[in-house]
Amino acid sequence: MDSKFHILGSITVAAQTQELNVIREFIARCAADCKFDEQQINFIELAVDEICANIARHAKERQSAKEIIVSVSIEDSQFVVTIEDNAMPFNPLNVPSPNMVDYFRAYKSGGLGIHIVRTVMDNVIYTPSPTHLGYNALTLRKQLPV
Amino acid sequence: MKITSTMMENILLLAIEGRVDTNTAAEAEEAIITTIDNGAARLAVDFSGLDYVSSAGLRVFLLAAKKMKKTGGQMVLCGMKPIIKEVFDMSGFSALFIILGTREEALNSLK
Repeated sequence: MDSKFHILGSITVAAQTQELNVIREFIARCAADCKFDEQQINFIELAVDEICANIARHAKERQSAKEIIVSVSIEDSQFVVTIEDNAMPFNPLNVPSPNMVDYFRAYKSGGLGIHIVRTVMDNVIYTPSPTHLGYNALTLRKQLPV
Repeated sequence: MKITSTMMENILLLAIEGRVDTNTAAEAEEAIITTIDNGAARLAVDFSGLDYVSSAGLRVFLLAAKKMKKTGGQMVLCGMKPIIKEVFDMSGFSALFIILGTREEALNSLK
């Protein structure tokens, strides 16, 4: 797969936690198609799951997002996952990563999910919706296996 | 997700199978925390049937470890598949737990 830009697929689901399995299966399939190994497939699946779980949980609490769109493409030898939601803009990258010693002491200090996303992906960019009716996007990138 | 609990010579063995994620974490938390609240002083958690864990699941094990510490109990984890161990390592959680290889090693360490 050496083309510079190649769309692998896209999935649109209701912003509900029951849909997370569908998203995980879709991402795992795309990552397997790109020859990532079992560990990397699990990490990519986990990163996307953390982001989508967060959107779905907030959607339940605040009736914010109605749907989640997950798209996967290959761009310049990178596996690119774009997660879009139509909730109020919220940048998860503003959440600081927890210090594990403090985390153990405090429990539920938050930030663990996004810490995992930052650790397993090469690059994460947030783009808020330009209008209140549009979609926010989080783009996760990971170098394809050689 | 399925949790099986067995008492073996004063050691409580919890075997967790399947996935501990956003959808199953509450159920896992209730089962594990109830066990600790019922007075389990020595707890071995067998992960050999665990296929997936997300931050929601990691928090459950963290809460369990914290409760065990508070009550002066001992808790060890064992039987992790490589993909699960890698999640514990990558997230920094390995430093918070005693993680052993097999169920036998875990049970022996608590005797």
